[in-house]
Amino acid sequence: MTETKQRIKAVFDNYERFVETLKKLAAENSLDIEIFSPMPVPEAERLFPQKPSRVRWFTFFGGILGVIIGFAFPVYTALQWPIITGGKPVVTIQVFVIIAFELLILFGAIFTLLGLLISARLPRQNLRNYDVRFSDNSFGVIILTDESHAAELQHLMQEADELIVDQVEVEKSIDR
Amino acid sequence: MNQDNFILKNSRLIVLAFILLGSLFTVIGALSANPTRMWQIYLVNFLLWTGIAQSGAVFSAALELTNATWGARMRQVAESMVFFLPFSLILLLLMIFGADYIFPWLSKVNISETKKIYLNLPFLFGRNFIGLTALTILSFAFVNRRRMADQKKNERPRSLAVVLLLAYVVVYTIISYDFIMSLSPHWYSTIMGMHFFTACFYTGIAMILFTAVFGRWRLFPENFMQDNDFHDLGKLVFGFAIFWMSLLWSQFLIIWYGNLPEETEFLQLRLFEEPWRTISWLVIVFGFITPLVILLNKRGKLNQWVAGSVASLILIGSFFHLFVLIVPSLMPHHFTFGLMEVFVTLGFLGLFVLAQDIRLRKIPIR
Repeated sequence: MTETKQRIKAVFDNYERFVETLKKLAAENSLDIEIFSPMPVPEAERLFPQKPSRVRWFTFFGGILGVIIGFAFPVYTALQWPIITGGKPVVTIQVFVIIAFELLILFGAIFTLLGLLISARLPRQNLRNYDVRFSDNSFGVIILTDESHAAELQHLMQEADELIVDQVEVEKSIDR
Repeated sequence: MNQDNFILKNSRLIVLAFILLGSLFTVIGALSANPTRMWQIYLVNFLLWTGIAQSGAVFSAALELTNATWGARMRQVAESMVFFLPFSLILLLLMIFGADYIFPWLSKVNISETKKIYLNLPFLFGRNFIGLTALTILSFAFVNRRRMADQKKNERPRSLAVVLLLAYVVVYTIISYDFIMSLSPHWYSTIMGMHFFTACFYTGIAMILFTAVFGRWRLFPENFMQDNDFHDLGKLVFGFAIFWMSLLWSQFLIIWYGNLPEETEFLQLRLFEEPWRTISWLVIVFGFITPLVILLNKRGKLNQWVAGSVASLILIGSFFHLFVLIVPSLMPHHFTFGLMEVFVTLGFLGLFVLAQDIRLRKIPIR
């Protein structure tokens, strides 16, 4: 089941006008909006607060996995070849703390990267709404809207350097 | 100038009373039957407050060197602590009167002739006085030039920042060897210097956070520090808690592994014998576990009361950290904590606040 929607793509070359437009758009409610920028835009994060990313859970469980492996692996190998060195116990937890700490960081970092790739669905082939200029020197706003609102939103974004409007078929009732 | 912003507006009398009572107890303690009790807590406080004041300038220099712009507001708070440094030079010289009680190698413990080349009274106070004077001059020069650079009167003092940071590392290593390590003349540890100046820097950052939360009504304009400042400070404190603990752990691990009698006696006393054992654990809980657990969460960093409370626990932890490094060396079997300790500490605190107030009168935070 699909429905027809208007896709408005606005490209900005100027940071101030981009932020001004974002402020105007933030006043609208329930907006299906995507923002593209070649650099961090603190205003965008403040105006359109997002749910905390899922990546943090990857980091968390990666770190815990690292700690478990960091203790379990040295203990296992030490017990497989139990030689008493310098009068110390075979399983020396004090020393394994360092290995566990290092693996906590290593696994945390690797899982963060994996989590980022999975959450962002990278690498991907079809970047539907993407424009190469958004990684270069332009800012972009893409809005999916009903036809009834389209004119009003276009008016809000009239300061854009380029405004592209087209019809798209989207699947109905799927939250993005 | 807006007089309302200063610390001492209403509490001038309290601060002066602290200083007066502190000096009174210092004199009484120095003349009492057991002067060691006073001088050891004097030394603990001297190292604590000097370290905090110095790390104010060091923090600013580190920001300068890393081109960090996020700390523009908190570095003003850090720099306001620097004014204590001239006071600490006088406090250092006062310690000459207590040298006989502080340094066991002067009369109580025999040390070898080769060690006496380094450990003797004129050389010890000479090098520390010169070192701290140099650091004081560098810190003042850096802070002033940085402020001028903000007003576009001169270039950013980047090379001065490098000199200050290197001098900090060298002088604080010497201080830790002289005032902490030499108190147990037969014990030695190479990492002591790094451990000490890291601890000082950590305490300094905790002090900035503490001041930012509890000093804001009097120190600077309303809403001067913003949410992202507290977020950044919380992250710094969290990171340094881990770094400080990792140095402590490296220290412990090497001694534990080597298991040499002259090294283990130091830890044996502090980690396994009461009451030092309890204090050591208190230091670890206050200085490491609390910030680790609470500041891990973003809400913990952003809630100013939570972050400020953690900072005050870290300050208490830092005090007892120095306490447990110094006091067991001098009085291994007597633990005393009474009015003397409290009032000498309050005296130092009063002097620190007074110094900060003098600085803020000259250069208000805005």
